[in-house]
Amino acid sequence: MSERSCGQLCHNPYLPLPMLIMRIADEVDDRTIKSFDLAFKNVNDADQFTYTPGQFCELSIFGQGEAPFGIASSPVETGFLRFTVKQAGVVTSKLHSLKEGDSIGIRGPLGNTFPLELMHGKNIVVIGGGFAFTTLRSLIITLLDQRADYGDITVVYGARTPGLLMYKNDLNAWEQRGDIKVVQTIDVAAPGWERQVGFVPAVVEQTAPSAANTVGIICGPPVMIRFTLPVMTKLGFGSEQIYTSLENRMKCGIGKCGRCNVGRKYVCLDGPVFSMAQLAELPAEY
Amino acid sequence: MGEKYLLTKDNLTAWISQLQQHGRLIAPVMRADELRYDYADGAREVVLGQHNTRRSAKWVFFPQHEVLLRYGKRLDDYSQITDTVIDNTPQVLLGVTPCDARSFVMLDRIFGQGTCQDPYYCARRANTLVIACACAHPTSTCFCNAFGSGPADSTGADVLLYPVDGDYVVELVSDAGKQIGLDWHLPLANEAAIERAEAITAAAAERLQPIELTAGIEQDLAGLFESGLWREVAEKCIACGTCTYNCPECHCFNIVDSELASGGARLRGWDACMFPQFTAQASGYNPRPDQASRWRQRVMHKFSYLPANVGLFGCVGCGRCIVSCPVRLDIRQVLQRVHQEALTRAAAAPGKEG
Amino acid sequence: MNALPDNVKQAIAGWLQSGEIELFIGYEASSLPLQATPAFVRKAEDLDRLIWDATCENNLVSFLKQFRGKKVGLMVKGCDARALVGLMREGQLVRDNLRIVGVCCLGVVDAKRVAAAAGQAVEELDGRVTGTDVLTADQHLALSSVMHATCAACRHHNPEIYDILIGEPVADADDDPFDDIRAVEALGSAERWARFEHELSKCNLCFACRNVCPFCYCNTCFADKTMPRWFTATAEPKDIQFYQIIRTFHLAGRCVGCNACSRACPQGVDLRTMLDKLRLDVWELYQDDAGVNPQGHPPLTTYREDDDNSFVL
Repeated sequence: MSERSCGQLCHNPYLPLPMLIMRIADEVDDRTIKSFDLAFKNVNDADQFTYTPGQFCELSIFGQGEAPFGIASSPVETGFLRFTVKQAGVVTSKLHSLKEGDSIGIRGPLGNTFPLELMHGKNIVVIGGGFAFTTLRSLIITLLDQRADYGDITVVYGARTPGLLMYKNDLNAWEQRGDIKVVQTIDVAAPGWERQVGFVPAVVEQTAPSAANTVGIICGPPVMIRFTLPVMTKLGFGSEQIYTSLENRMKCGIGKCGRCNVGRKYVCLDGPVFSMAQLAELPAEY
Repeated sequence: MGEKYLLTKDNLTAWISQLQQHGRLIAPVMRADELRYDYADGAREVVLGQHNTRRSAKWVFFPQHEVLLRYGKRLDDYSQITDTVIDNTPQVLLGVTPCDARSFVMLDRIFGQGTCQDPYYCARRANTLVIACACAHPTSTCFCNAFGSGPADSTGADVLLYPVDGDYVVELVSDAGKQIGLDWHLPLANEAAIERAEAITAAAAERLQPIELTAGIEQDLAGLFESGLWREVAEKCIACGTCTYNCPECHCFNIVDSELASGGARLRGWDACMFPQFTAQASGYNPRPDQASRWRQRVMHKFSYLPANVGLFGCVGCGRCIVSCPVRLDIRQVLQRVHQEALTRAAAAPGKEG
Repeated sequence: MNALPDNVKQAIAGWLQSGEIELFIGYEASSLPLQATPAFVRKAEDLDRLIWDATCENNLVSFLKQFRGKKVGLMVKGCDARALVGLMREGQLVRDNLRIVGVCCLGVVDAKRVAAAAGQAVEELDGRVTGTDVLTADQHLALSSVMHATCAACRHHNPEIYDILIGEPVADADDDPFDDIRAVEALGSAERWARFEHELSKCNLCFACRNVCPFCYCNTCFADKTMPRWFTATAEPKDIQFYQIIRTFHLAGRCVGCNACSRACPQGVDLRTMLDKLRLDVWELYQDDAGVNPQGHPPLTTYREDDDNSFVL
């Protein structure tokens, strides 16, 4: 059913690995989104844990429960796993109250990955909106690590305000490089903002990346995706060239609890990454 | 088909005692005015050969709630797993109906296969001998025949008992069943007893109303995701969990942390696609916003997704959901409507004449 | 099976055709013996499906939660009509939006009791109802001997409100409707607790009781809330008891005693004793009966100088 390897989960997939919170950083100015850099407590776990951009983990806080989050760090960044979490429910609220040095657990890596093999040798367009940039960060850093393997790389990332754009240091560093085109945009003009202003769909249209020999990855709020897809189609992207990542509610993460399915596919197992061509075959239940 | 043995009514009590030597006995017993599968003290309590219990036997392998792990007693202790609770106790599940025994085969494919095995389910399953009792009492809500099954189906059982006027003809089905059967030293059943056993289950099969529900159901459902029939079907559904809880095949679960008297525990408990919160996201968004979409999921899961993903329907035709539904929604009627709707659509589709 | 009288069908057809209502909720035969099922009718030609007899046990008022603000017609028994009245008092329903077919009810059949009398499973019964007679393959039972326990305690056989009535009003007994509750009150606390534990050991937490209750209309029930989480749905007795206690208390002064919950319970849990105990308390403390007056306010949402406070510690 799935190509995902079982990895270290096999003996008891419900047991979280113990992790230490090394570093906590605010990502946005309203302080509702924080990044947590985690280190493995057990060397053995660290050695066995291998992942690819697009995968996720269940973060586990005993007494509160579990919630799934995409891995925001890249496999090429060693020594930590990063999760960027917006405060929304029970688990995330508790997570936001934790401090550096506190312990939590993770289960994973879970799910499939962005289609790195398919992307090999191709131009890449990464489109993100708001909070949904976590696994995109992982992807971009991974691509840049093997820069010669890919053609042009274009990133369009939008948020409502400058303060809500995450990963500012990364974005600014990428902007300084000559081998990646980064377009940051905000919804309406703000004092001191000298970059792009406008909604993501319009900015993608202006940026007009070529669809030839290109793979597009798009993650963001449903409304952003809905209005960006027609733009991509207009630019010549076929549905098999565009990938996205779904966020259905999950519990087990291993295809058993029956919660996250879209039609016969399980987001936790067959996803979270799907091409638009794959999604066209499935009911719109996400 | 192997040899068949005879267990007489005189030997039943001793035989059940023998089973108790093998493992903890679970059987149909009366508890709080209800015939249900429960831990049984001994032969005195066991009620064999009745019609279906109201609740299925799935809890034996997949309890309504169970501890996945325990953690430190202090609420601020987020690190220490103090116990993981895998239950390897040998058990004997005696007297399940063939439909219940057959349901375990589908559950095995969910919990025992795929990318990861579920160690809690698998430990119980591996340590439990399943002794089914052929069904002499099918009722008006039974439709196992729609799945090509019947009152003497031994699928999923290690041993199958045929009730014969108080005695039982015993068929050792699986390797585990044949192994333990050696210890029982039962005499071979004579021709007459075997014929009588077959006559009784054949008569039971006769009493099942002929019904056609499953032929082409996957194709029928394929075109009906957006159909208005789901709204009509779901209109009287009150969104309780009875149908899914009592169903032997429904296996959706939730994982929550709870403070038990013994300390903190991560629990796995039954959940239901009928509940509005089942797919509700933290943001408030719900991809299944109404009861129509939840009923569609229930039917699609059982009759389209599971056959496609694991090769078996998520229904064995036990009829429990029909009997226990507070508004008497009948899944047989729903499937018949699905088929009618598919026929209507096919007839209305243009360009099919040539 | 008893079709609706012609004059009633004509009235409903008129409401549907004139647009006074967009939907009529009644009963039709189900695939199970002696139990009707709710039926939703939008076209006059479908009215022939509808029936009324002692198999019509559901309280259709609970479905109105799904049709807030819509113009709907429905059938109500005496107990169901009390739920309409109670909901009007709580500002949940507007009388003008409703077209009500009232039925004078002598009680509804408990198929499980018939099955017990026949020594069969419910689904095996070959049963039917004519008037107050329940006929099985080989038995002729009086309705009063096989009706729901909740109906035996009924003192409201005739609907309080209706637009058109089926049947002749039935005399309600004017004895004490709570005599069996007083008998339970008289038991010692250990015995009462044992009863409570025994009843709730049947519960499997399917929430049918809540979901059929006309008065359980909270947008998110406390049992489903996660922020904060009040309740974890395990099969532990403590969780089941907690849920049922909180639900029961949340209905104090609001429950009209329609007992749709007890009849819907697939596990046969007696919820009536707990709920009627609270109804009795509310009657004795505040002389209030939730199902009688659509005006006014529920007693626990009002304050009077002379309110009883004997229970304040």
